[in-house]
Amino acid sequence: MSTSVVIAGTGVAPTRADEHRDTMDVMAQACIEATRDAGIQLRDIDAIFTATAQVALPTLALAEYLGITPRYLDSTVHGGASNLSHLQHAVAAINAGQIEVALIAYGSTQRTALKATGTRPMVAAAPPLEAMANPRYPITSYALMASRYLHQWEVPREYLSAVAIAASRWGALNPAAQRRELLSHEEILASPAVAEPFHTLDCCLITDGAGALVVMSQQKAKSLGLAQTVTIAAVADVTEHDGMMAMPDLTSTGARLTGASAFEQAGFGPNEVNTVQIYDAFTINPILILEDLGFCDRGQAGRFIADGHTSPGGKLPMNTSGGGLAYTHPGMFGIYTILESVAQLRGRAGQRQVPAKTALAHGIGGTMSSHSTVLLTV
Amino acid sequence: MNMNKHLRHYLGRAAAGELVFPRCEECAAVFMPPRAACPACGTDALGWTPVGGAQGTIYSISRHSNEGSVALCEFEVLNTGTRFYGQLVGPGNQQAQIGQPVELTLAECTVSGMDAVDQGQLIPSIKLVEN
Repeated sequence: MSTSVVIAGTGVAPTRADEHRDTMDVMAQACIEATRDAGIQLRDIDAIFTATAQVALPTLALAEYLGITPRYLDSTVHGGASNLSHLQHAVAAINAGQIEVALIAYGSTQRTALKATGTRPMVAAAPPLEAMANPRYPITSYALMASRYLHQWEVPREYLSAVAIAASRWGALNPAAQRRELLSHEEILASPAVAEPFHTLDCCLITDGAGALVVMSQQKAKSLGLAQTVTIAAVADVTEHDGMMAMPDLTSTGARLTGASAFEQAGFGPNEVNTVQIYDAFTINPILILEDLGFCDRGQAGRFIADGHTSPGGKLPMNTSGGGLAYTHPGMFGIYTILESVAQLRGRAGQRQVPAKTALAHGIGGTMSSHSTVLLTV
Repeated sequence: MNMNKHLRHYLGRAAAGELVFPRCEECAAVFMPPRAACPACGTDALGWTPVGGAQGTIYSISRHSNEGSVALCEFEVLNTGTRFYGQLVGPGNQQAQIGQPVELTLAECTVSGMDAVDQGQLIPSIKLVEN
């Protein structure tokens, strides 16, 4: 990938609000904030990329709502990796000279919808053969991965808890986080059992929220006088399965492929990554992904996390926003892995700031089914 | 959603009391779930192979409070690395462990409101092999 493309602005809609909010509004709020952050006008946007399960024809609805008429539309949806894939598409379109300024947006008001109707909008449906076995989709699928992992490597259930505990330590440092209190292994085990080995506190939050990114060429950013830009050094995508019957190995994922590809594109390896943001819908996710990306040997990531290496003060700060387990999880968390990477690289992460010149973001969609790895640098 | 003609065929055979898995007529791959093309060689020349009474082992399992257990199982007949996902039915399902032997079986679907499967219709499932 030629890497002359940058993230020039970001916007976030708050996770919490007292008033009823609609998805269009949280998305628009994040988009407007991102354009202001990038020092551009909405009318400068000529490409729109969005994925949400709560708006019909979302690129069209959002473009009209923002009063813009983009000439490049992308509503690629493959779950929580979608917004990371949008970055890859935006880079390609900018490098091809097809577009100048891309707006990537995600939003959901799951918590508002849950309060208003008692049910929350699903972002995906179980494959038919799974649905008829009466699972708690998608929790059961990730629970099967966790069960297999604990069995295969003969490691304790405490390693799953360690992921939620580390997330709570970061969440305590993030004023925007839904969960600010520190968790213990005992509290996690005392939360309701959902699908063995998972308890409620092994699962991500249900929140509102939205995020947006403004992407353009380095040259364009320079011409606008933008100083605080983040370079997109690599993006790699893959899918190896949809449902669990076709997942090749429950303890090793498509991140093997996206990690290797992304590091090759960027010309550096895991040792040179200063911070990682891994989509943590469930506690097993960061364990498997850290191993597949090459940060830990197989079977070792649970111990690595339990030893505190990814917590505040650790050598590999991970999910520094608090992640989907402690910060926010509005249906899909993918865009937040980019937003937090950018915040860290720009030195805007407040109390949770870590020294970072390079960052890795990893999105997961479906049931470990789509993967997207992004490397960012300043 | 995501229903397809191969799946309808598979479910129809099960409803009639017959357990079959998809089998590639070119390379003899036996795989799950049913698809439009062979995941091993890519051909669309696909047929079916009888698998009634097939023996396997539990590869992973998740127990749900009050709602039974879901297991992902390895079967020798599945010769391309895919596995079978289903409800673990019958005695012992709440105590089952990874590595325990299982057998493919037919059991009544407990879920309502699905396309192509009625509640109570026979669907492929898994039961523990009694020692």
